[in-house]
Amino acid sequence: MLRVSDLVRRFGDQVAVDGVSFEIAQGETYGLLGPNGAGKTTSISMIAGLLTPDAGEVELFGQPVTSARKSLIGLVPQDIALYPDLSAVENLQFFGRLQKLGGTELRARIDEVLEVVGLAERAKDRIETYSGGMKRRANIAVGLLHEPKLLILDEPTVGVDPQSRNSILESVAALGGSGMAVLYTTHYMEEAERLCDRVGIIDQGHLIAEGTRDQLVEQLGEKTTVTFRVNGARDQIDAWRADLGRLPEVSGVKDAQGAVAVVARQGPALIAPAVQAAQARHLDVIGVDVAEPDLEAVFLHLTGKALRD
Amino acid sequence: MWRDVKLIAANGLRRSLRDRSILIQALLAPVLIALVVGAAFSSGFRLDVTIGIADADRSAISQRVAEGLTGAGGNGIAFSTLSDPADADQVVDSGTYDAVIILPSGLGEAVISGGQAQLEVVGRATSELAQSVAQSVATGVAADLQTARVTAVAAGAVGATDPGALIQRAVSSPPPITIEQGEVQGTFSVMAYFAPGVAMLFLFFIIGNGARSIIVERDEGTLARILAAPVRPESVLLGKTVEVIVVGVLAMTAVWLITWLGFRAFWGDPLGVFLVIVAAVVAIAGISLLITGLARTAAQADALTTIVALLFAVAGGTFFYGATGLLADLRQFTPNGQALAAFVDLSAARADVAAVLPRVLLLLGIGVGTAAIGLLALRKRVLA
Repeated sequence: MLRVSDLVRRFGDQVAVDGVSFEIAQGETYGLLGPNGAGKTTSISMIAGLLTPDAGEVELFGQPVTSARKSLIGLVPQDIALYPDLSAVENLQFFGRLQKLGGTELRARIDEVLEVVGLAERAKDRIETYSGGMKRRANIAVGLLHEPKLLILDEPTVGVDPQSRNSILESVAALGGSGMAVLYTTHYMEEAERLCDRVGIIDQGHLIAEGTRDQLVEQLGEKTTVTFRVNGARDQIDAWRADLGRLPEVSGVKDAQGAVAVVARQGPALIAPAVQAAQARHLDVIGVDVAEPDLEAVFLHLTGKALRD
Repeated sequence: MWRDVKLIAANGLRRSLRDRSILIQALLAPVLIALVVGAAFSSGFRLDVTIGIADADRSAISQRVAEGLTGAGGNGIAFSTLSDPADADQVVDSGTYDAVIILPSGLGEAVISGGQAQLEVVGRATSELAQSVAQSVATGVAADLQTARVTAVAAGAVGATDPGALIQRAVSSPPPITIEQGEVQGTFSVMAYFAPGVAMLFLFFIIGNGARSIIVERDEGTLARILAAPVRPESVLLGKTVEVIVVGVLAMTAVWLITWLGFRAFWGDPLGVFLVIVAAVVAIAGISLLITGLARTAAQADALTTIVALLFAVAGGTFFYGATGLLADLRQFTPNGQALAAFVDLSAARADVAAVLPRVLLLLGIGVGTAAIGLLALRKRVLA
């Protein structure tokens, strides 16, 4: 239903999106995974008709996205794009009317989406009185209001508490199952793995890999992720990280929440030389964990850096 | 398209009316400041106008008119006969007289024969109130002469043989001329001057706030959400323009009605007042849109609006009445100065709609011109 071909967008001398192409089928949830500044928001802005591409095409059901066809798309921006001094219902009424809804149909849809996002009881409260998670859910409700064929969610869980995050992810999973196509951008690997039928990995404006989770992980071959927890001086840890990067068969090294993660072929065989290198730098290795490859490892393998670098 | 314009304007209006700071700026502040300033000026304000009467006709009728006027002064208005009408410009320029009414050559003959003669008022741009009083007096003179003429014609119709004598008698008979001196004095309200002046100053902030909301909505993401719907960018711009104009007209009209009905500050012919209000709001809205279109950020637009509003307020005579010299000249180049001049015409000189129409058209022109440039800039920079 959505076909994106060779999209290019420049801002001055900087190329934000450079030849991005992908397709999404009806009912499919497609994840655009990449770090901040990779070109995700610029790409979806062009898909939603908010930015004009410098080159390339966006087609929805084989037709360009004209002003009239924008109602086929529901956009949930990364920021809370709601009027804080209006209630959820008032926001939904305004944006619903702009989508040409009205009367009983609009009222019914408002009730329905507020139920979906779990805000029916706070419907008449001003958005400014909501918690961060509730605002995020209200933000999603506006995108769903006019029953779009394609729902674009731009990092909908940024800055959300774990409980609300889980609630949002459950809602999105349910939408994917209802036949609506979903384009989901995130820099959280777990979200992409949990929600998306296929994932496109984007970095520096380029779509560098695409496929199902299994297809992407297969690119790593027999590589695994070995995570070391060490104690010692910070400068020595940094130097040790560099040592690890020079070991044979290592394709990426990154910080992982206070630990150091290494993607390498034959990961277990890496442990001994890594520990020796640590001891040489007077570091104590206090824990080692060997994990099967995931999308984070794929990204590390493809770009040499972590998703959240 | 118009449905979207209406929706966007209505949404902005709803939010504005909920914003208590706007209610304070739009209503409370202008009324309170006008009350305070009005009270301060009223206690120390005394009308002191000297009007010269130059008789270029020297007919029996013109002499009766001049005598009638010179004997009718008082309450701050003094009339004095000018020996040589050719000196009118000079005595006004020198400040000997605040204004001069010239009874033109042929006036007496014109009244008797049914012809036309034009009373001329010479005044100083810097003494607007004196000019307004003189205009009002001249209008009264013309009306009385016309009444005298009608009386004579009527008398002729019932058999009188000498209409000229009848007219002279009519002019001479007491009261020879009704000078609307008391009315001029009564209708000039200090509050009716300061209330619109202060209201227009605050309009710059209220309307500027509305115009800036385009940038604010861009930064907060709601603009992108609007444009993600099947809505044309032109609808957004028009919606915002309608919103700021409606907010401005509502605010200014409320100040007018509160000061008029609540404090008896008579602003003049209601239709004329409303037209001037609309024109002033359009001009201020246009300037605000221009500022917003040229600014890079909402904060920059805010700062520019404050500077422009205060400059216009000082130059336009918001804080004081009866400016002279450079300030009086500058007033002509400010939209609020033009609007205030129109309000003075309407209240002090009891001008009608036709009299203030040139200023109304000028203000509308300023508004449309500046708005067009501002909207084009916004279309290119904010909605591209």
